[in-house]
Amino acid sequence: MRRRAFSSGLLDMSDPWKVLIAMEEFCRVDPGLGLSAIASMFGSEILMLFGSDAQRERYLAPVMRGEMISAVAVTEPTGGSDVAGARSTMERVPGGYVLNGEKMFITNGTVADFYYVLARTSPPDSPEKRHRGLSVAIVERRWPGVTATKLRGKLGMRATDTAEVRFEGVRVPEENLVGEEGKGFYYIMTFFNISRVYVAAQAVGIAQGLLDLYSEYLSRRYGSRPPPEGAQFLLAEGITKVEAARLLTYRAASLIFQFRPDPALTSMAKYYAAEVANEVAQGVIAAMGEEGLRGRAEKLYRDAKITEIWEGTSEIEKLVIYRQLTRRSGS
Amino acid sequence: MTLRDEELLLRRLATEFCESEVEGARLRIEREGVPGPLLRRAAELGFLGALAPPELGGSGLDARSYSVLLQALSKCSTSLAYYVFVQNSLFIAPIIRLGAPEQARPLVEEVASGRSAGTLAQDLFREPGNPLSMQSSRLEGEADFVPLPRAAHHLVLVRASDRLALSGPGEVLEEYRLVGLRGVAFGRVRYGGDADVLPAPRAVDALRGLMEEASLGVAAMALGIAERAVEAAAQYAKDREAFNSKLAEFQPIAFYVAEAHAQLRAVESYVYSESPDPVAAKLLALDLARRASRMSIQVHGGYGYFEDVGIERLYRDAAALSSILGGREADLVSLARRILGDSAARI
Repeated sequence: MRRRAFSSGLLDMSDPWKVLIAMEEFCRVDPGLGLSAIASMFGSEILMLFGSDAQRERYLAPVMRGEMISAVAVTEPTGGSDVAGARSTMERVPGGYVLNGEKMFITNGTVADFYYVLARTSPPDSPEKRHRGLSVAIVERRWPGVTATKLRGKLGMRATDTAEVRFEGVRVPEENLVGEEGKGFYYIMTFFNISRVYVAAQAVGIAQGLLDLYSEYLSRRYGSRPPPEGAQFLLAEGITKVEAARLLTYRAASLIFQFRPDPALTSMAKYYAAEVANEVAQGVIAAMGEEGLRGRAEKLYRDAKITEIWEGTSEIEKLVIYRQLTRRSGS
Repeated sequence: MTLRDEELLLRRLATEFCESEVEGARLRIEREGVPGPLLRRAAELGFLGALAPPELGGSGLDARSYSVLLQALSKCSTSLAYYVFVQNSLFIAPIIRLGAPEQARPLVEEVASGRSAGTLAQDLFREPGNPLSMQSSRLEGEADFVPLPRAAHHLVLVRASDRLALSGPGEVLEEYRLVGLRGVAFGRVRYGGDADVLPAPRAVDALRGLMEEASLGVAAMALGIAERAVEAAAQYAKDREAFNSKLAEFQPIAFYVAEAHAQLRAVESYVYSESPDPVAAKLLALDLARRASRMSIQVHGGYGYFEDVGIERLYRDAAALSSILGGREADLVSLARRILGDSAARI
């Protein structure tokens, strides 16, 4: 399925709009499966923007053909949204680094061929400057010292692989460092400012999918006569919010795809679309009666929740929006 | 809210049972259903016959005490609470109220003692799919969304003759789990055998009335979900550190917990007030359960998403409870018509 998504041209990074729309439409139907296909290239923007030609040749090209799977290993068990609090370390040794640390909730953790790992290469000057001294390296899963353990029993997105990944004395060759040492936090944040727009698209797709199911339910239940006004309002309010979330998402995406991203707008899109997806999910599941408790509606209800959490929780998005606004008014 | 002494005792009994025997089996209940030994203990403690009179081996609880029990159980395992609810509100209460004493007595004793299970097949809240019929003493037809479809005793609503029938187990055509309450199987059952008829006429209205009373029990289970969600979120916010601070130090997280706590206490006061409207109580408690469980996952972040932490099930159980015995719309219609008259909220 993954390879078909690439060979059919749906997943074509040379046209990011295609990928964004594929994300939205896949999630409208089946977020878990759709994401499994698209997330096989998770993190690719890091190499596109900051990698060397050799790295792109060796790692990015096979991913873009659907032959390799990548993963982003940033989140840690103690860290969550607090990316700069990373405790993993990469110690310098002749010819490269030795990586030690633990990463949590890693999408594709047990199936990826390689990870983009964020780890500390030098201690911070002060607690306030924790975002300095972090670096990104490409680490292959088959290297000695790498162990990935699949995490089971998720609320939703069950078709995606989620894992805990341990690095114990892993030798990382010099040429696998991405960009410059110490700039990892900046690279990862730049990446999140792109990837969050895809999460917004996930949320828009899920919300739309739920409204599709609710419309189908209403036609089954009421046939050709109009449903009661309460149902009409639920649908009207839902579709209004979905449309607003979609426009915000496309606006943020259009700026990103023109290489002039607006992080505040991207965070607004992600936060708002995720909120809409969960509001619609709660409204639709409560309105569909027993029918909503089985099958696709309940699945989308469970899938919706993660959009408020991954790639930065909604709370983090709001902090980003505030900081961007004050930065703008300060300049 | 102020609980009476016997209600406090009952709550302590249920909570101790949950802590010592249910908590450790929580994931197993979700995957395989409530295990037999746990049901036997629930019977010994008088939970399976909570609404049955003492002379039939029951605990004879009043509505308030029954709510205390369901809330305490639901806080730990809403699946287990729902099992107890099915035995009491969907089997024992209807058969005692609508059955002949000689029909009710032996079955209530059996169910209260946990020797066998009872259930109710009804289609009050959806378009009847494959209508059931009763010809002389033969029950024919199918029912869907039957909880515990393999139970030994089935009360079956036959709309065509406006009666409740009492049947042995039918043929289980399909068995499935819903979004939540995963420890309780639901199924589509075909009946095609001898059945007794309960003497009460106008069974549809009578059962509707009973289900309305049972709404208070649903509200209590929803409160259990909300209470667990709020307590867990508060604990996690106090323990978890991020950005060099405890989560609780961040205003938004602290406000989430404070707001949900205030709402929980308000709804709880209503549910345990002198004469709560069961439908209003259910509506308020379920809205709260859905909101509070979503909030709790959010506070727990990625960890909240995994079943072993025990928070995501609250979110699923809240959804299942919201629609299982008439959804939000049905409750609002019933409430609106009571306030505004029968022409209100046309469907």
